[in-house]
Formats: sequence, structure tokens, C-alpha cells
Amino acid sequence: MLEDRLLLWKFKRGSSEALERIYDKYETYLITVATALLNNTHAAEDVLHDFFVSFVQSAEKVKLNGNLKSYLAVCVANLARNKIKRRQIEPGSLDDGDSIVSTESEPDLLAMQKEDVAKLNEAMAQLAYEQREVIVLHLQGNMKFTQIAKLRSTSVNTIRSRYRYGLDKLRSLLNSEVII
Amino acid sequence: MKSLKDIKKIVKQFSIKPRSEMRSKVLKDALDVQRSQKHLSDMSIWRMIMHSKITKLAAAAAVIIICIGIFTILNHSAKTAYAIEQTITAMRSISSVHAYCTDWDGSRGEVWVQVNPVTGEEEYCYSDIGNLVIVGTPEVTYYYQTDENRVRIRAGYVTASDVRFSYFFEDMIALMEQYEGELTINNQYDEELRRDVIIVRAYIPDQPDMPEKEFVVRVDPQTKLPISIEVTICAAGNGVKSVDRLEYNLPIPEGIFEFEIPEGAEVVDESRYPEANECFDRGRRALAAGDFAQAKELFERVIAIQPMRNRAHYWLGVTYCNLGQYDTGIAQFTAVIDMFGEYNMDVPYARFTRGLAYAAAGNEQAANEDLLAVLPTMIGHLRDGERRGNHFDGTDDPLLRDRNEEQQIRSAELSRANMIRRLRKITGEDFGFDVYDREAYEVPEAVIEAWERWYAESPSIEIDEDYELEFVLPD
Repeated sequence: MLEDRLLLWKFKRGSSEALERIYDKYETYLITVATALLNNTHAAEDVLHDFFVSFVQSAEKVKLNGNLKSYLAVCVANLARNKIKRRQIEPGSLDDGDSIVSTESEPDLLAMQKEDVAKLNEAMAQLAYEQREVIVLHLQGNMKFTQIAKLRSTSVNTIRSRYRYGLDKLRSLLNSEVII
Repeated sequence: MKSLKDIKKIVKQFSIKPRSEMRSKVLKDALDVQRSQKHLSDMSIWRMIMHSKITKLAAAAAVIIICIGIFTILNHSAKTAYAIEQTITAMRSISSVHAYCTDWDGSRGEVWVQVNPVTGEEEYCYSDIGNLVIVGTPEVTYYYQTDENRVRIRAGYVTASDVRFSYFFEDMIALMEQYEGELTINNQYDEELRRDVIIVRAYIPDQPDMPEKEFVVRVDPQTKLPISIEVTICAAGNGVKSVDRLEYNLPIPEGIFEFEIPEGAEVVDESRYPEANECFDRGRRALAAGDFAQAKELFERVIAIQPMRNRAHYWLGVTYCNLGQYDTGIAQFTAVIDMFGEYNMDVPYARFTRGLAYAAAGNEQAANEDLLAVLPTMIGHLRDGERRGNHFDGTDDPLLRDRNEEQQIRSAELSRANMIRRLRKITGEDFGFDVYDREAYEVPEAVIEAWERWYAESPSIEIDEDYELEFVLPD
């Protein structure tokens, strides 16, 4: 949206207001993406922190090819991937105190979905990172398979396969009674 | 068992609420880094503009007019003329304008304008003030009302002001001359800039088509470019209150003129309005010529583009009635009545014509209800002649808009005479006024009193089917 273009323009010129606005606008979204990728909220918070600091440090180099939301998601995904590669974290479960919310608001539905989401998180932890990443970027980040393929320097078919196998496994895990 | 669709839905709905302390921690570190950055933020944008190459060139080319005392533009002194000319030259070097504005309700916003370097005309604009975002491009202009989530689209670039940025002084002088206004220029020390600036005060006295207006423009003596504009006298809601800061030739934010219609927004496409206007005019002429099939097609095209164009609905209703399709005609008149009903306004002319259509369709009860409801307006119009029933005059002639100015204006006498013709049609009475005499314009007081007495004592509807309603139009 135009507001994002304007925010980015101001941010690149050192506007603290623009930085705060970008943070407030995308904080929940980015922590969700990071958590979905890392299955560890503390690690996700670290990623978000590191991302915003590096975002400011490289403000002048920021260039959008698509929208700001996707750009931010990709940056967070890259940092999460690096963290996994460096084995700085081990995928784990969400903490008890973590606040899982649903985008729906009806109380009954919310209770049901909280349970689903908790199960989902455990199931996601059992996917290969590459599969989890494609699922999160495609479904949460609204990125196209071609964009993800370009980002990961691999073929679209590979990305599609990861997505399909990942979803199949998720379905199988979520439909089973016990998640190991 | 969860399907793949369910799984996708759960993933999409997955959301984590950040801990409250996250914001302060992350932002504190990020803002610290930002403050320590040694890039553009260290240099105020304003200073950057003042030192930009293009404005420097403009400044170098211009003669410093700081020494100019108080005078009016009408003096046309050589110095003044030269100074203004230099300012005009400086204005022409503009490729972009960035303005910070304050509106009358205190809301703030900003405007970006891209100026065509060859023509000096505005080419693209982005404005975000209060609840309204405007994006203008050469092809189309979007107006996005954010609080109502509604987008209006108009064809071409729609300028927001009578005064164009790059022709600011020429337009302002022309405006002063047109309205016999006053333009005064003097110098004043500016605390913010810590030097003298040129103060241009423009005053337009109250005009029939424009209320009293005064605005003050601060001009930088070096660049000759306006740096702020404040409207000091103006009818509320007429343009912004002030342009607090103007910046020139900044790189325009990427993609700012690319408007995307927000999800779920109501879209009112006014870009096809010229086409609708053409169809409407052709429809009126077809109706007047008795080509009802053609009129029907044209009015329907108008309504497809402008569903809320009441007169198109009205004339389409008349067309249907002429085709003998009374029910469809009644639906069109009802559309007009409902349209205004939302605002608690009645539409007597549409109710009158609908009453006649009901009668023609054989629905006597509905006809009586409508016609009795409009009687007070019709009778009242005989007395005030120029007010209550004047909308009837617009519907007695599909070609009204094509008539010359004199023919378009109905005199009070003529308007009364035609109203009696309508009353005759729905009551069978005339109270001594010869409705067949086309020269009979003046309605005697005794006739008006007779109608008023009738209405007070025994108003009733009795449509005279033999009387053909025919209006007298101005010569």
C-alpha cells in the first residue's frame, strides 16, 4: 500500500516516527512468522530484535521489489534460517505463557482454535525446516511459489513439492491422536 | 478428520501475540542505532533542499529582492516586475513538490506533486490529509475516503487548486486581477530561518461566486520559492488551512502514485461520467422525439454507470410509461423517491408522476395516496410560485437543458399556470382558469383563493383521463 511506500521513504531518511510505525504495524505478523519457523518464541524475539537493528543499519540499501510486508517476512525468514544453520537454537515447543491468538474472535471458535494452534505448533516442529519455511512464507507471508523459489535459489517444482509434502505431513500429524 | 483446506486455514490463522516488553526493548536498540547513523537524518531535509543543485541554479539566476519595500503588484515598478519574474523563473525549475499541510479540523497531512519538466504542469499527485487520500495520475484520479472505505475514480488528472504550483505567481496574479484583489509584498524577519523572508499577502474581497479570502505566502528570498502558505481568511472547508512547509525537487517516494484499491472498498467509478452525460443528453432528445426504444436503452446505460442519477431514473420511468410498461415505470419513480427518502426528503414531482402511472396501471388506491400526498406542495406553489413546486418545472420538458438561458427560467406566473394544468389533470377542476389557453400565463388571485378553499374544505382526487397534460414553455 501507499502508506508503506511513504513510511519506507521516511524511514530511509532517518525518521524515527516511521520506524516506530513500521514496527507497530508488523510486530505481530513478524513474531508469528519467526515463531512458526523456529518453534521457539525466545529465539523468535531475538530474530525480531536482530532484524530491526540490521534494518536500521542498512536503511539506505533497502529496496522494495514487491510490498513491504513480504520484504520484512523474507528478511525475518533469512535470519531464522541462519539461526537454524548455526544451530543456535533447537526447535522446541511454545512456552506455557506464550499468547497464541486467532484471527477469529468468537469465544467458542477461539477456544477450539487455540487447541488447534497449539497442536499445529507441535506438528510444525516435526517438519523439515525447508518444508516449514515454504508453508509459512506461502500461507502466512502470501508469497508465491516462484518468489520463494527465487529467494532460495531453487526450482519452483522443488518448492511446490516441499509445500505439498509438508502439508500432507501436517495433516497426518494433526489427524493422529498423539503427536510425538 | 481435518482436510487440507482445514490445515491451510489453521496455518493462516496462526498468530502470536508479542510480549508487551518486546516493543520497548527492540525499538530502543533500533532507535539508538538510527540516531547514531550518519546519513541523511543528520542533515535536515529543509537544508538539503536549500542546497540542492536545481534550487541553487534558480537562486543564482535570480536577483535578490530582499531590499524590496512594501508595494502593491499594481504599481508595476521595474524592480517588482523583475523580482516577480525571477520568482516565476525559479518556480519553473521545479520537478517535484512536497508539502506538509494542516486542515481546518486540525488534521495534518502531506502532499507530493510531480511536475512535468517541459510543460510545468502538475502530472502526478499524492495527498494524504485527514480521512482523504488522493492519488492523481494523467489517466485517472483516485479519491479514497479512509473512514468510509470508499474509492471514487475520476477520469484524467483532477487538480485540487485554482493555483498551480509551477505557475503559482502567474495564477495568483490572474486571480487577483479577476477578483479585483490586493497583492502586497514586504519583508519580515523569520525566526525559524533566522533571516528575512518575503511575505506575499493576497486578499480577495467577497465575491458572488467566492467568499472573502486572504492568504499569506512566505517566499525564500534566495530561491524565490514559496516555503509556506497560510490561509488567514476563508470560508471553512474551502481547501486546507495551511501549507506549513514546502519542499522542492526531492526524490519522490517510489510507487507513491500507484494506487491499489483497498480490499473490500466500495468503488464509485466516475471516470465514465462523461459517457453517462452523453447518453443522458441523447436519451432526453430521443424521449422528446418520441423514440422511446432508443430513450430506454440510453437511460439504462446512464443508470448502469451512475446508479444514483435521479433524473435518469425519472426519465426512464416516463419512457416506460410511454411504452405502456407502467409497472416498470413505477419502479423507476419509486427509485427516485427512495433515493431522497434516505435523507428524509420527499420528491413531489416523482410522486406526482408515479401517481399518474399507478392510475394508468389501474391501481386507484396507490394513485390516490401519491396524489393526495403531493397536493399540499402543489396548492402551496400557487401562492409562492417560485419555491415549493419549482422542481416540477424541471420535469415538464426533457429538453430543458438544451434551451437557451431565458427559456430555461420559468417565471412565477408560468410556473403557477403549469401547476394548475397538473391540478386539473388530477382533480378535473380548474376554478375558472382556462387550461387550454396557451397564452394564459397570469393566474388571477381569485383562482388561487378558490384552489386554497377547495383544498381546505374538500380535497379529493379524480383524474381527468380526457385532459391531456401539456405544458406551456417559455418562447
